[in-house]
Amino acid sequence: MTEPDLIAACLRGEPRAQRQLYNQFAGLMLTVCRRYLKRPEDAEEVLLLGFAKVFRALPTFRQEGSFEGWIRRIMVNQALMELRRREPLHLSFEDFAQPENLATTPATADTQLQAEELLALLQTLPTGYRTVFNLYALEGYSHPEIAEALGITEGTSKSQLSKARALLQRRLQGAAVNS
Amino acid sequence: MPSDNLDDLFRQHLGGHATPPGADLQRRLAELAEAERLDSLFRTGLAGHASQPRRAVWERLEDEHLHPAGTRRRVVAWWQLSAAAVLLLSLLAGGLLWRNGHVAQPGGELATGRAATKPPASTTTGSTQGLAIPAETAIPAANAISSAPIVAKEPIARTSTSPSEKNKKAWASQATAPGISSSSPPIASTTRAGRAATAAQAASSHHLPRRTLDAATGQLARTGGRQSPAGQLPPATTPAALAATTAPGLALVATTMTNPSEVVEVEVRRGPAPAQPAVGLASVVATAPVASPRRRLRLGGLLRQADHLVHGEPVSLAEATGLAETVTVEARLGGRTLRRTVQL
Repeated sequence: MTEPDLIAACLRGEPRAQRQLYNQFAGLMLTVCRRYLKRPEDAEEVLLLGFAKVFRALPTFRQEGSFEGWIRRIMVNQALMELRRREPLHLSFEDFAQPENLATTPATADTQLQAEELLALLQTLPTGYRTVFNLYALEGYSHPEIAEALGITEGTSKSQLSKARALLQRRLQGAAVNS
Repeated sequence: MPSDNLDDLFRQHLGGHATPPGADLQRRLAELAEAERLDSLFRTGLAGHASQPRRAVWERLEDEHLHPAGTRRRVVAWWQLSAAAVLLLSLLAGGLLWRNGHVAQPGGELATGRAATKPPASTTTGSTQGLAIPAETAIPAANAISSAPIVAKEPIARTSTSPSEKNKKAWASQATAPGISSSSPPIASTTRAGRAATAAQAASSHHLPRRTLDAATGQLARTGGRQSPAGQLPPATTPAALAATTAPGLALVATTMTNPSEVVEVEVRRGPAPAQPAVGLASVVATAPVASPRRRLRLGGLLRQADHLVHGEPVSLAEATGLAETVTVEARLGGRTLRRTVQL
């Protein structure tokens, strides 16, 4: 079943098509959710609510862009909503950039890490760092977009991104040394 | 200096000159490269990575968002409805059984609690007609049982000719187990003291067919031939006393025999209508009571009376309880007839 057929069947309310759409994208979208939320159950809750929105908003999908991108955007928005509800971002945006937490040397570690290890590294970041890094580095948001989405200034977004990178580099280095 | 020479001068001196970037610029450039490398690392490392959600996520999505009134829920609803219906029916059946048992129990209590104190003025109904029991006071009965117990069995044997009588006998013997030894002093004394009341209660009982001869009545039947004097007839056998206790009764007849030749016949009838003619004086006694309605509280009547009470209108106890408005009590003593109508 092609993607337009699948969407059309879902629009008709066919359970099999709905299940197929879910099976096709649930795994990818759960990874997206896990990048934003530390706890697996929270990520699954976001996945559930996100798919509910997907099926509800399916009639508004114009089939002009990427369907996966459309779903991913819904998931990211849902994750941000959940983050605001569960983990107030303003608390996590406090300065975490203590000298010992910042990378002082460029990371030279081999980066052949598995996805789960990368996810684990991401989840060690404070919520604010992690969110900005996700939005900027992985989702492709600009700093103005991040500032608008999170209700922060562009400068804060840049700062958070810089500090997130520094932490990641440091931990990557540590991971390489340990391995 | 000609302009051409000037241009050549700068071109010659700066054209091949290399200016290395400063340390700060180099650091910044390295950071950018490293950042891009880091971003790329995560972007490529996580791209296409799928985490398998638990099955419950889809089930919840389906139940809560896609098909909230789905088949599974309908099945659950059917089960719940079926269980509720069965429970309701069970409760109704249990309630009916309990109610029946509860309604029947007062008669049973009457028989059990008062069988030992049953007066000689035993009453019988149409189903036990022909059973003439001579009346006697309790004291001679209590004394008589110890003197001639074999004779006491005779009336009981006579009453057990019909199957219903057998049942009654068995029932009475079970119910009166604690009081079977009716010759014991407490029973005798109780009989003496409460004879009037028990006589009236016996007359007012709605379960007269069940009240058959037990040990006490057997004794009394045997002692009936002792011809106790009429002066020992308790005062409660008067029609007024009976009327007071048998008011809810429908058409009950109680007969007290002071001696075989003298019969006191008391008839309690629902409503003001004249009493039916007495059935025979020598034989017993009982014009069978018309199917007496159970004494139940009527919910509708209660509500109606409550409404009357709220609106200040007169309240009818008879309507609320389903009892008769009036009860007529008629007593025949020899050639005299006393009749009294009691307004409830």
